[in-house]
Amino acid sequence: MYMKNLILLIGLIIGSMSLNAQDVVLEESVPDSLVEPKFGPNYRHFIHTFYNFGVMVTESAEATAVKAYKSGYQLPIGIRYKYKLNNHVALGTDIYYKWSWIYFDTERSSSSVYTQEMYNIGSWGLSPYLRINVGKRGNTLGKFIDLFAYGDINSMRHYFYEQETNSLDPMLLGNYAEKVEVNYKKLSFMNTYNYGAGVRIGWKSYSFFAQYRLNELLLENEVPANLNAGEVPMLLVGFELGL
Amino acid sequence: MRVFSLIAGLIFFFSGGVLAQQKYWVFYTDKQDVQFNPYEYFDGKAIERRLRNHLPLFDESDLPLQESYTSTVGMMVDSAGFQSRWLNAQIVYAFDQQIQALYALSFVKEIILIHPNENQTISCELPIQNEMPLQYQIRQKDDLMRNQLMSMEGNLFLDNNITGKGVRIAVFDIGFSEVNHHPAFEHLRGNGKILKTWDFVKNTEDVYAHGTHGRMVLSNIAGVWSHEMMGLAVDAEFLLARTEKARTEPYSEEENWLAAAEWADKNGADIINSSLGYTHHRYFISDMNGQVSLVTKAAAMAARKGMLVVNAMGNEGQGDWKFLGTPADADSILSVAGIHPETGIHVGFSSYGPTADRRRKPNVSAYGLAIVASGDSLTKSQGTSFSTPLITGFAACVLQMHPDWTNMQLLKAIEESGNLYPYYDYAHGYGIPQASHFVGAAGPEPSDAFHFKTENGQLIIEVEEASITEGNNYLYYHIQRQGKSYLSKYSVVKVAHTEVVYIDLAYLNKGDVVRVFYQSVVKEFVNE
Repeated sequence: MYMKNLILLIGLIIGSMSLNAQDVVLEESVPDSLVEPKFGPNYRHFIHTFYNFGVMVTESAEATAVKAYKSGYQLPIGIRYKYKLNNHVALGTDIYYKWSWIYFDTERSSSSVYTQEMYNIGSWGLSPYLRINVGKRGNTLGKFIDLFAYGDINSMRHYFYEQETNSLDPMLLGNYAEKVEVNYKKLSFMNTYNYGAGVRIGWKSYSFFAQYRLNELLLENEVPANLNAGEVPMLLVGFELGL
Repeated sequence: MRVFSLIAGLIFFFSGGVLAQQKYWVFYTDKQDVQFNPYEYFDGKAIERRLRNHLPLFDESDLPLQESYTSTVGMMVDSAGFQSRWLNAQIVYAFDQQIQALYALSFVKEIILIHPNENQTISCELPIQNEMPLQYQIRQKDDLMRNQLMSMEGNLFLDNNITGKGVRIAVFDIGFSEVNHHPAFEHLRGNGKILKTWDFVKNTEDVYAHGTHGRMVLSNIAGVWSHEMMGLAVDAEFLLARTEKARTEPYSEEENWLAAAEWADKNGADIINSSLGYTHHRYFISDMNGQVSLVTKAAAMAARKGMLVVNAMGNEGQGDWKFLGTPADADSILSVAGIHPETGIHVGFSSYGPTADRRRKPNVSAYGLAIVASGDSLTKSQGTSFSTPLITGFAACVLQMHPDWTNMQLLKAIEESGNLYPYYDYAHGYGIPQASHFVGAAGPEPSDAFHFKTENGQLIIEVEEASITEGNNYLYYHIQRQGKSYLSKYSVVKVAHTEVVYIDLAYLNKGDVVRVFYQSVVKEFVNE
């Protein structure tokens, strides 16, 4: 009985809908007062994703330590929030996750047997910034210069090397593989955080940046001596795409 | 060190060269003692237009700038550029110290910094072109090409031998590639109907390069293909001006538009066709009030000189911007929206009105998909860029019929010829202009096929069952609040049943008006 009533009710609803249904092909409302949107590239609030690629400037470490590092790269993916104060000044912050790969110069030591050697770091970061815009524009990001600070928590701190097995004792593993890879995790001699500052110069979705780390990535007295490597270079430059 | 040099270079580049010379408008106080002979300066058609529009042969805005002022300023700045008679102003490139020195001159009224160019990708056009397979193409093209004119009853003009003869049209665009040899314009070239050309970007006479958009637009005013008309004004005369840069839209395009409008005025244009517009790259929606942009001021000035400016609404209807671009926001010009040929109503991409200060825009509509001249043949393209020249061709025909009309009479009459008139909404304007309004032919038979009724607290719009037909049978209605000059809501409903619209009476205030258009009849319900 209950089921019958339900079917009847559904039938009536569908029937009445089809009886009165008209095809509204266009419907627009005009608000009483023109309110500019609050959200947009040049409105009060704006959020967008960004992707950047940075290259470590290895020369910067030369004067202070053995040139232990050949190259370094970072690849952050994040979300950027912008709060417009006026047409020329905005504040904002980035939240991101960043992968960093810092490659050792495997020939820094004549006794080295590694074919590849690197730190592999994963970090969560926050980066507040001050934006100065140049030029008149509509609802676009326009040309800008950002001054930013950043702080990262290095949630992943790995040291990795790769070695060809012909340098190993054949009685052990040497006969069973061509290469061996070793990954040390949760490095105790690497800081769990780092921070720095930088500048970003952009046009619409594109920008170049340079950033300088203000603390040491490695804990000075705890770095294993046989690593034969000093502090990681502080300067990084790169290109960014905002979408 | 190299890195820091790179960064310093980038800072300088992106700052727009703050330390370098910049571009300014210098406005002068007067044009004292300037000699001017309108008969020497103006083309005879420009004089005719002034007389027709009951304007003096010239006023102060027509005079050249005071040469002693411009030469003095010219010596004090780095370089000087375009001089606008209408604005009594000149563009200069100068350093800050030079500008400070100009302020000391008694004849300098105002100096305005023109902000560094904001280069952007093209936003003013939507030339999505689909080359169709040849066999299919001919049938399809025949249908659309015929209907883009028949929708305005263009055949009635042609039957009366009205083809824009004697009307001079200036077309502002990005370039007119192939117009100098494309078969669709052979009749214009052969009859010497392309009177003058000027490239305001490069300051040369050659406009037959840099872009195809102008060619497509011109074809919808006056193109002819295998004896078939693509636009209605095939016998009009033309002034072709390149004002747009390809791929980028720096602010100088607006200066070019102003310069081209002054040029069109001097050379006797009756109508300006402008299938372009500027939106979010430079402006906010609140700027679309007919007051802010240089190009909207230039368009309004052109209207004050007696020219009918026909401008595209823009193609932002489905984008974040949604509303019209500038100069479609200008007062006293005809802004044109797009209609979908299949549905017969607003095509999605066509930008909506009203202006930011709630004036009615668009004014009228035309097909937003059209057959246009392609490289050496025809193609289908879309955008209000192509609705606009269809209306320009229509306007030229009306002006041929009424050569004594002022531009405002012409504008008003074209609005009144709209197939929705006196009904209006911000998507269609007054609808598609109809030639029958001008040639005395009978328009569509109005049928009193609907009425209002109130029932259970609802206002119901009910149509006669006999009026319900297959196909595009629409009922339009809008709500205008009591005491408001603009519409609060508007809608189009495809009629499938007798009770078409239900409006809760509680939604309506006392004095609110519900106005309905159905099958050529407009009625209104006033909530008591």
